[in-house]
Amino acid sequence: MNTLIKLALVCFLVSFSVIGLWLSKGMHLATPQQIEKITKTTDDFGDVVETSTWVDNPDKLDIGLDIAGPVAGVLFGLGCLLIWRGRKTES
Amino acid sequence: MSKSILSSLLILSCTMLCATAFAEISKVVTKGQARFTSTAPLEKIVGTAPVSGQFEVDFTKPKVITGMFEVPVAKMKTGNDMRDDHLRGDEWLNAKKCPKITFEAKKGKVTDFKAKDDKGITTIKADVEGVMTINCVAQPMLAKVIIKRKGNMSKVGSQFKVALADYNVAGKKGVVGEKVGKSIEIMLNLKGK
Repeated sequence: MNTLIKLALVCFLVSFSVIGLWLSKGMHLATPQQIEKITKTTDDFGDVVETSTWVDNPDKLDIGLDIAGPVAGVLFGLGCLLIWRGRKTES
Repeated sequence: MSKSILSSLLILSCTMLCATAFAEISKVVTKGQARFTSTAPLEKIVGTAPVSGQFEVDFTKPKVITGMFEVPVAKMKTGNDMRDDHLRGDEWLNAKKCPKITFEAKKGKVTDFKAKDDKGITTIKADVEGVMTINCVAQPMLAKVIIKRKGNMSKVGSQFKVALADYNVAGKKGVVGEKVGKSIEIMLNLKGK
Protein backbone atom coordinates (compact mmCIF):
# COMPACT_ATOMS: atom_id res chain seq x y z
CA MET A 1 0.00 0.00 0.00
CA ASN A 2 1.64 3.26 -1.03
CA THR A 3 1.65 6.53 0.93
CA LEU A 4 -1.08 8.14 -1.13
CA ILE A 5 -3.54 5.35 -0.37
CA LYS A 6 -2.62 5.49 3.33
CA LEU A 7 -3.28 9.24 3.28
CA ALA A 8 -6.60 8.58 1.51
CA LEU A 9 -7.65 6.18 4.24
CA VAL A 10 -6.77 8.80 6.87
CA CYS A 11 -8.92 11.33 4.98
CA PHE A 12 -11.87 8.89 4.89
CA LEU A 13 -11.43 8.13 8.58
CA VAL A 14 -11.40 11.81 9.56
CA SER A 15 -14.33 12.51 7.24
CA PHE A 16 -16.45 9.75 8.82
CA SER A 17 -15.34 10.91 12.29
CA VAL A 18 -16.58 14.43 11.56
CA ILE A 19 -19.95 13.06 10.44
CA GLY A 20 -20.03 10.81 13.52
CA LEU A 21 -19.30 13.81 15.73
CA TRP A 22 -22.11 15.77 14.07
CA LEU A 23 -24.51 12.86 14.59
CA SER A 24 -23.52 12.50 18.23
CA LYS A 25 -23.89 16.23 18.94
CA GLY A 26 -27.55 16.36 17.95
CA MET A 27 -27.43 16.86 14.17
CA HIS A 28 -27.83 20.64 14.25
CA LEU A 29 -28.13 22.31 10.89
CA ALA A 30 -26.43 25.47 12.17
CA THR A 31 -23.55 25.38 14.64
CA PRO A 32 -24.79 26.50 18.07
CA GLN A 33 -22.20 29.23 18.67
CA GLN A 34 -24.10 30.44 21.70
CA ILE A 35 -26.34 28.36 23.92
CA GLU A 36 -29.38 29.48 25.83
CA LYS A 37 -28.88 29.71 29.57
CA ILE A 38 -32.22 29.70 31.35
CA THR A 39 -32.33 31.29 34.78
CA LYS A 40 -35.31 30.49 36.97
CA THR A 41 -36.26 33.06 39.57
CA THR A 42 -39.29 33.68 41.74
CA ASP A 43 -40.69 37.14 41.08
CA ASP A 44 -42.58 39.56 43.35
CA PHE A 45 -45.80 37.76 42.48
CA GLY A 46 -44.55 34.39 43.70
CA ASP A 47 -44.35 32.97 40.17
CA VAL A 48 -41.35 31.14 38.80
CA VAL A 49 -40.04 33.15 35.86
CA GLU A 50 -37.60 31.83 33.27
CA THR A 51 -35.18 34.34 31.76
CA SER A 52 -32.96 33.39 28.85
CA THR A 53 -29.49 34.70 28.20
CA TRP A 54 -27.09 33.59 25.49
CA VAL A 55 -23.61 32.43 26.49
CA ASP A 56 -20.76 31.23 24.28
CA ASN A 57 -21.01 27.49 23.72
CA PRO A 58 -18.22 25.95 25.83
CA ASP A 59 -18.32 22.77 23.75
CA LYS A 60 -16.20 23.67 20.73
CA LEU A 61 -16.86 20.24 19.21
CA ASP A 62 -20.60 20.96 19.07
CA ILE A 63 -20.67 21.50 15.32
CA GLY A 64 -23.55 21.89 12.93
CA LEU A 65 -23.97 20.65 9.38
CA ASP A 66 -22.73 24.07 8.18
CA ILE A 67 -19.24 23.06 9.36
CA ALA A 68 -19.42 19.25 9.36
CA GLY A 69 -20.81 19.04 5.82
CA PRO A 70 -18.11 20.99 3.97
CA VAL A 71 -15.26 19.56 6.10
CA ALA A 72 -16.40 15.96 5.65
CA GLY A 73 -17.14 16.56 1.97
CA VAL A 74 -13.74 18.06 1.20
CA LEU A 75 -11.93 15.27 3.10
CA PHE A 76 -13.98 12.60 1.35
CA GLY A 77 -13.25 14.19 -2.03
CA LEU A 78 -9.57 14.46 -1.20
CA GLY A 79 -9.57 10.79 -0.15
CA CYS A 80 -11.10 9.76 -3.48
CA LEU A 81 -8.53 11.84 -5.35
CA LEU A 82 -5.68 10.30 -3.37
CA ILE A 83 -6.96 6.76 -3.99
CA TRP A 84 -7.13 7.46 -7.72
CA ARG A 85 -3.64 8.96 -7.75
CA GLY A 86 -2.29 6.16 -5.56
CA ARG A 87 -3.68 3.41 -7.80
CA LYS A 88 -2.35 5.20 -10.88
CA THR A 89 1.13 5.41 -9.28
CA GLU A 90 1.04 1.70 -8.31
CA SER A 91 0.20 0.61 -11.83
CA MET B 1 -92.70 68.08 35.97
CA SER B 2 -90.03 69.45 33.65
CA LYS B 3 -88.01 70.51 36.71
CA SER B 4 -88.01 66.99 38.08
CA ILE B 5 -86.92 65.58 34.71
CA LEU B 6 -84.17 68.18 34.53
CA SER B 7 -82.97 67.41 38.05
CA SER B 8 -83.06 63.66 37.31
CA LEU B 9 -80.97 64.22 34.20
CA LEU B 10 -78.56 66.35 36.20
CA ILE B 11 -78.18 63.64 38.86
CA LEU B 12 -77.67 60.99 36.16
CA SER B 13 -75.02 63.11 34.44
CA CYS B 14 -73.24 63.70 37.75
CA THR B 15 -73.33 59.98 38.53
CA MET B 16 -71.85 59.14 35.10
CA LEU B 17 -69.18 61.81 35.45
CA CYS B 18 -68.26 60.55 38.92
CA ALA B 19 -68.10 56.97 37.65
CA THR B 20 -65.75 58.06 34.86
CA ALA B 21 -63.66 60.09 37.27
CA PHE B 22 -63.29 57.16 39.67
CA ALA B 23 -62.40 54.63 36.96
CA GLU B 24 -58.77 54.01 37.82
CA ILE B 25 -57.25 53.41 34.44
CA SER B 26 -53.59 52.66 34.95
CA LYS B 27 -50.99 53.09 32.28
CA VAL B 28 -48.25 50.53 32.73
CA VAL B 29 -44.89 50.74 30.95
CA THR B 30 -43.29 47.32 30.66
CA LYS B 31 -40.12 45.61 29.49
CA GLY B 32 -39.35 41.95 29.16
CA GLN B 33 -38.45 39.10 26.94
CA ALA B 34 -40.06 37.27 24.06
CA ARG B 35 -39.07 33.65 23.50
CA PHE B 36 -39.90 32.09 20.17
CA THR B 37 -39.73 28.45 19.15
CA SER B 38 -39.80 26.99 15.68
CA THR B 39 -40.40 23.26 15.49
CA ALA B 40 -39.70 21.68 12.12
CA PRO B 41 -38.94 18.09 11.08
CA LEU B 42 -35.23 18.84 10.60
CA GLU B 43 -34.58 21.25 13.44
CA LYS B 44 -35.96 22.95 16.48
CA ILE B 45 -34.88 26.58 16.76
CA VAL B 46 -35.25 28.62 19.91
CA GLY B 47 -34.71 32.35 20.00
CA THR B 48 -35.19 35.35 22.21
CA ALA B 49 -35.72 39.06 21.78
CA PRO B 50 -36.28 42.01 24.08
CA VAL B 51 -39.85 43.26 24.11
CA SER B 52 -41.19 46.53 25.44
CA GLY B 53 -44.52 48.23 25.51
CA GLN B 54 -47.30 49.74 27.49
CA PHE B 55 -50.88 48.94 28.25
CA GLU B 56 -53.85 50.60 29.91
CA VAL B 57 -56.37 48.88 32.10
CA ASP B 58 -58.58 49.59 35.07
CA PHE B 59 -57.37 47.17 37.72
CA THR B 60 -60.47 47.65 39.84
CA LYS B 61 -63.02 47.00 37.09
CA PRO B 62 -61.19 45.73 34.02
CA LYS B 63 -63.30 46.09 30.94
CA VAL B 64 -61.08 47.57 28.29
CA ILE B 65 -57.46 46.61 27.77
CA THR B 66 -55.46 48.55 25.23
CA GLY B 67 -51.78 48.74 24.58
CA MET B 68 -48.86 48.50 22.25
CA PHE B 69 -45.89 46.15 22.34
CA GLU B 70 -42.86 45.96 20.10
CA VAL B 71 -39.90 43.74 19.37
CA PRO B 72 -36.85 45.07 17.50
CA VAL B 73 -36.03 42.54 14.77
CA ALA B 74 -32.33 43.46 14.91
CA LYS B 75 -32.12 42.19 18.49
CA MET B 76 -33.60 38.76 17.84
CA LYS B 77 -31.10 36.02 18.68
CA THR B 78 -31.08 32.31 17.94
CA GLY B 79 -27.57 31.31 19.01
CA ASN B 80 -26.00 31.34 15.55
CA ASP B 81 -24.79 34.60 13.99
CA MET B 82 -25.30 33.50 10.39
CA ARG B 83 -28.84 32.32 11.12
CA ASP B 84 -29.57 35.63 12.88
CA ASP B 85 -28.39 37.48 9.76
CA HIS B 86 -30.65 35.31 7.59
CA LEU B 87 -33.55 35.98 9.98
CA ARG B 88 -33.11 39.72 9.48
CA GLY B 89 -32.78 39.35 5.71
CA ASP B 90 -35.23 40.27 2.96
CA GLU B 91 -36.60 36.75 2.58
CA TRP B 92 -37.47 36.50 6.24
CA LEU B 93 -38.29 39.39 8.60
CA ASN B 94 -36.83 42.12 6.41
CA ALA B 95 -35.33 44.16 9.26
CA LYS B 96 -34.24 47.06 7.04
CA LYS B 97 -37.73 47.79 5.78
CA CYS B 98 -39.65 46.53 8.82
CA PRO B 99 -37.41 47.05 11.86
CA LYS B 100 -40.07 46.22 14.45
CA ILE B 101 -42.63 43.54 15.13
CA THR B 102 -45.59 45.15 16.85
CA PHE B 103 -48.79 44.12 18.53
CA GLU B 104 -51.44 46.73 19.10
CA ALA B 105 -54.01 45.58 21.65
CA LYS B 106 -57.32 47.16 20.72
CA LYS B 107 -59.78 45.55 23.08
CA GLY B 108 -59.77 42.85 25.67
CA LYS B 109 -62.50 40.54 26.80
CA VAL B 110 -61.91 39.71 30.45
CA THR B 111 -62.37 35.99 31.01
CA ASP B 112 -61.40 35.91 34.67
CA PHE B 113 -60.84 38.61 37.26
CA LYS B 114 -59.62 38.24 40.82
CA ALA B 115 -59.34 41.42 42.81
CA LYS B 116 -56.63 41.66 45.45
CA ASP B 117 -56.11 38.23 47.03
CA ASP B 118 -54.56 37.64 50.46
CA LYS B 119 -51.13 38.46 48.98
CA GLY B 120 -52.45 41.68 47.48
CA ILE B 121 -52.25 40.38 43.91
CA THR B 122 -54.87 41.34 41.35
CA THR B 123 -55.14 38.92 38.43
CA ILE B 124 -56.82 39.56 35.11
CA LYS B 125 -57.15 36.92 32.43
CA ALA B 126 -58.30 38.22 29.09
CA ASP B 127 -58.62 37.46 25.41
CA VAL B 128 -57.07 40.48 23.81
CA GLU B 129 -57.93 41.36 20.25
CA GLY B 130 -55.43 43.39 18.34
CA VAL B 131 -53.30 43.80 15.28
CA MET B 132 -49.99 41.99 14.88
CA THR B 133 -47.56 43.45 12.39
CA ILE B 134 -44.72 41.29 11.15
CA ASN B 135 -42.71 41.92 7.99
CA CYS B 136 -44.84 45.09 7.53
CA VAL B 137 -47.96 42.92 7.15
CA ALA B 138 -50.72 43.64 9.65
CA GLN B 139 -53.14 40.88 10.63
CA PRO B 140 -55.84 40.74 13.30
CA MET B 141 -54.90 38.47 16.16
CA LEU B 142 -56.34 37.17 19.39
CA ALA B 143 -53.97 36.60 22.30
CA LYS B 144 -54.69 35.09 25.66
CA VAL B 145 -53.15 37.38 28.25
CA ILE B 146 -52.59 37.18 31.98
CA ILE B 147 -52.03 40.47 33.78
CA LYS B 148 -51.04 40.63 37.43
CA ARG B 149 -50.60 43.61 39.70
CA LYS B 150 -49.15 43.92 43.17
CA GLY B 151 -48.64 47.37 44.63
CA ASN B 152 -47.51 49.47 41.68
CA MET B 153 -45.76 46.57 39.94
CA SER B 154 -47.49 44.81 37.08
CA LYS B 155 -46.64 41.96 34.79
CA VAL B 156 -48.05 40.60 31.57
CA GLY B 157 -47.68 37.14 30.15
CA SER B 158 -48.95 35.67 26.94
CA GLN B 159 -48.44 32.70 24.70
CA PHE B 160 -49.59 32.42 21.09
CA LYS B 161 -48.70 31.14 17.65
CA VAL B 162 -48.14 33.03 14.43
CA ALA B 163 -48.22 31.44 11.00
CA LEU B 164 -45.37 32.72 8.83
CA ALA B 165 -47.51 32.54 5.67
CA ASP B 166 -50.00 35.04 7.16
CA TYR B 167 -47.25 37.66 7.20
CA ASN B 168 -45.70 36.86 3.82
CA VAL B 169 -42.60 35.42 5.45
CA ALA B 170 -41.65 32.92 2.77
CA GLY B 171 -37.97 32.28 3.48
CA LYS B 172 -35.76 30.45 1.04
CA LYS B 173 -37.56 27.90 -1.12
CA GLY B 174 -38.12 24.63 0.73
CA VAL B 175 -36.92 25.91 4.10
CA VAL B 176 -40.29 26.70 5.71
CA GLY B 177 -41.88 23.44 6.73
CA GLU B 178 -38.57 21.54 6.61
CA LYS B 179 -35.99 23.48 8.61
CA VAL B 180 -38.25 26.21 10.00
CA GLY B 181 -41.74 25.58 11.35
CA LYS B 182 -44.73 26.88 9.41
CA SER B 183 -45.90 28.53 12.60
CA ILE B 184 -43.83 29.97 15.41
CA GLU B 185 -44.77 29.69 19.05
CA ILE B 186 -44.18 32.87 20.99
CA MET B 187 -44.08 33.36 24.74
CA LEU B 188 -44.00 36.81 26.28
CA ASN B 189 -43.14 37.93 29.78
CA LEU B 190 -43.08 41.61 30.65
CA LYS B 191 -42.86 43.52 33.87
CA GLY B 192 -43.22 47.17 34.72
CA LYS B 193 -44.82 50.00 36.66
